[in-house]
Amino acid sequence: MSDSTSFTKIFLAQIKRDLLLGVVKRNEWLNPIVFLVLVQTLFPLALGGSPDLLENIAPAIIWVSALLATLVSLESLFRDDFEDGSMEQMLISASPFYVFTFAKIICHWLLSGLPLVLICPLLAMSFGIKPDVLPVMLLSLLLATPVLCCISALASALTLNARRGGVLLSLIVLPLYVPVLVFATGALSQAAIGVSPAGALYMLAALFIFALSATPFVLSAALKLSLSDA
Amino acid sequence: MFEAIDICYQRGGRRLFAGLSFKLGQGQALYIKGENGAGKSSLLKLLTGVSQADQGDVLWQGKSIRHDEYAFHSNLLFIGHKSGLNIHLNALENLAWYQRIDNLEIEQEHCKDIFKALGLYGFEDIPVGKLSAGQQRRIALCRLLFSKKRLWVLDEPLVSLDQSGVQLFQSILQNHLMQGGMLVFTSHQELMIEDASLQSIDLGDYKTDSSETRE
Repeated sequence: MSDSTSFTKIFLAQIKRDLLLGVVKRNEWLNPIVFLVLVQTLFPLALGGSPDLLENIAPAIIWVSALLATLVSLESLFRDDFEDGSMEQMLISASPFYVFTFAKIICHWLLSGLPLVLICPLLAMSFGIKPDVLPVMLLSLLLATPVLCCISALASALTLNARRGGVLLSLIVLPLYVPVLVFATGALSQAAIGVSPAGALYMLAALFIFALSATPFVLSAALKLSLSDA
Repeated sequence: MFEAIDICYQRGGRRLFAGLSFKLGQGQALYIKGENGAGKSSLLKLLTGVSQADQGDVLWQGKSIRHDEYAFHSNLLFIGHKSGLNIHLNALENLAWYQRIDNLEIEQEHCKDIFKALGLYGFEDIPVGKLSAGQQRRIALCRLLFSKKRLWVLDEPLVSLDQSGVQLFQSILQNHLMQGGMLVFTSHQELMIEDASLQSIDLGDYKTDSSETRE
């Protein structure tokens, strides 16, 4: 029956399948994390002994490396499902397509966003960031990484039919990442100098709500387009 | 009742077919013939609602499949030339996903019996990508045995099956038709289905002169 319990069931089935695939294909989500850790540990080493400079540019380094890390695994997000025909099967199943796309976004975040949320505050210690900035950082990461996942999923869906869409993908994604970058680093810098970061965090929260509520539908439309064209 | 009314489809400025209609009742099968590139798979995409025709409509129980997607899709089982199986997951994991999205409860024992019947017993915990093409096909066709759906749309179901596979598969189809199910399929090999229930369409007959429609 097409009621909410069966939607939840299908949503969970899809999450379970994708997490199972995450276990099998560990490289795909470990790669970005290793990349992030490398970038963020190399910066303090390269900048040498200047703690003030390091503390000032820490928000920028943390966020830029986090943004670039999400680009690493982007292309493969829908690739398998698209090529092996599973995506078609989701489209013609009895439940609405957006249940699947929503599950895909959540799973993408669990595998590529959540690790960033957990690791960045740890690495931030090496930049000499003050402990009282850490809660703001955690909150900004929690609000911003789902937005990044939504944007990247959308771009990845739109370029499915373009062979070697990698370059195109980065070009679509990066301008859309900019607002997130501006508000997230803004929040951190404000917190670092003791000003209330509330304004920037509210903006991030607004982006978060907008992205999560609109993307499943837009993503379904984009994927349908790719499927009917293939 | 599954019917198509006057569908036309063109792709990349080339008309693949035009004015195609058929009507399929309970227990009937439709065999779509055509040369390579005639548009068989494209037609199946239109019939399953993955893509949309330029003209004409596809009806399920008298209603356009666009308008009542739920009623149509809850009765449709489509297996395309892409298997729909993830190569990193094993047969059981793949089928478990299909069972959940199709809202079916299947007991382990029954599952085991079906695997034995299909000669897949002992292979169920190997990632699908490591199995042979014929075995992958058999796993995809497993879905037919679990299915309670009334309309089956199959694209080249016999490809890479061996002789015993083909026979097994034909008996599954016969059974489905006898129970009042409907079937649409494409194939380059002959399928043994009783003439009384079989219609066939040759896409070559619906092809209009392609030079005149080219812009």
